[in-house]
Amino acid sequence: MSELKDNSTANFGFWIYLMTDAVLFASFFAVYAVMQNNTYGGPAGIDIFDLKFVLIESLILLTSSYTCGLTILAAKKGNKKLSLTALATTGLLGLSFLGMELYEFSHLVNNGEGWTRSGYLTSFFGLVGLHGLHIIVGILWLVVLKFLIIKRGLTESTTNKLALFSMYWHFLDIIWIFIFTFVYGMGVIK
Amino acid sequence: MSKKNSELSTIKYSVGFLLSVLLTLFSYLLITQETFSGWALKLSITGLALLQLLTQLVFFMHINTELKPRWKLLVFIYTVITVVVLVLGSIWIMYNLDYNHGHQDHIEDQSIDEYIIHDEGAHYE
Repeated sequence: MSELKDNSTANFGFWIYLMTDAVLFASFFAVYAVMQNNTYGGPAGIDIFDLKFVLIESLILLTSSYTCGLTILAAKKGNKKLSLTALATTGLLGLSFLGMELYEFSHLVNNGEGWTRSGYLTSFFGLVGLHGLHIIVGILWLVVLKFLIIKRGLTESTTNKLALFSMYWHFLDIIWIFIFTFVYGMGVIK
Repeated sequence: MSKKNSELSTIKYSVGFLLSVLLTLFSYLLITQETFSGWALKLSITGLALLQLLTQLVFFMHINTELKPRWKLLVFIYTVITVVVLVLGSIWIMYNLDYNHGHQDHIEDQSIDEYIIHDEGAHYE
């Protein structure tokens, strides 16, 4: 199997994948927008959203995006220890975000306000859940990358894999901006 | 990577991070402090979200540092067009469907005929 001369094709291909993922999220956003009033006697956004809680979630995810950037910078300098530390921090922050989100979801489900309660809640859990699923996949990828770098060190190949991961992770943070604004933000405005 | 370049990059990431935090906080404060209401508020937070999108694209995703030909930028613009059509189109069509099938809340007190006569200005000659 021949090696790529450089990684530009792989990187561009991954970028295109992220763009298709954006369209997927857009379709879930569209459904959520359409289902705004389909509360079927159940709660609307304003009844279930805690904006302060969501702000903390958002800042955690944003910080993880920052540490992800630092991971890449360290990797480009060949600093294995620093990049692994930054990567681990990114992972821990991601797990914290996930923990908060799962807490929010389980609280809603236990209150009888789960995804089966109404069309609106289905679309809420669908959209935010899709994002959460992407985060889980990202964390799994991160763990694999960590082992890979420990084993093989910062080669051109592993450094590029880190770059692709960071694109993915930044993308998820960007999607979250829209969830924070259009789901939670709009949800609590009267 | 030269030391100077890496310092510049660290600064770039840090500035992007700070801007994003500020934009998020600003959005949060606008909502919770109820500075505006209704459409003004919705428009403001939408604007802030778009600003943060731009910030993250430039500072984190380096969308502006691509050399020509700018394929990534082109693909991104195409995606934005697709997303806008998909989301706005769905909202428009479903709103229209709701209206024509009389399932909107405000018609509960009137008959559909009365509502359409009132809303569309239909009248007998």
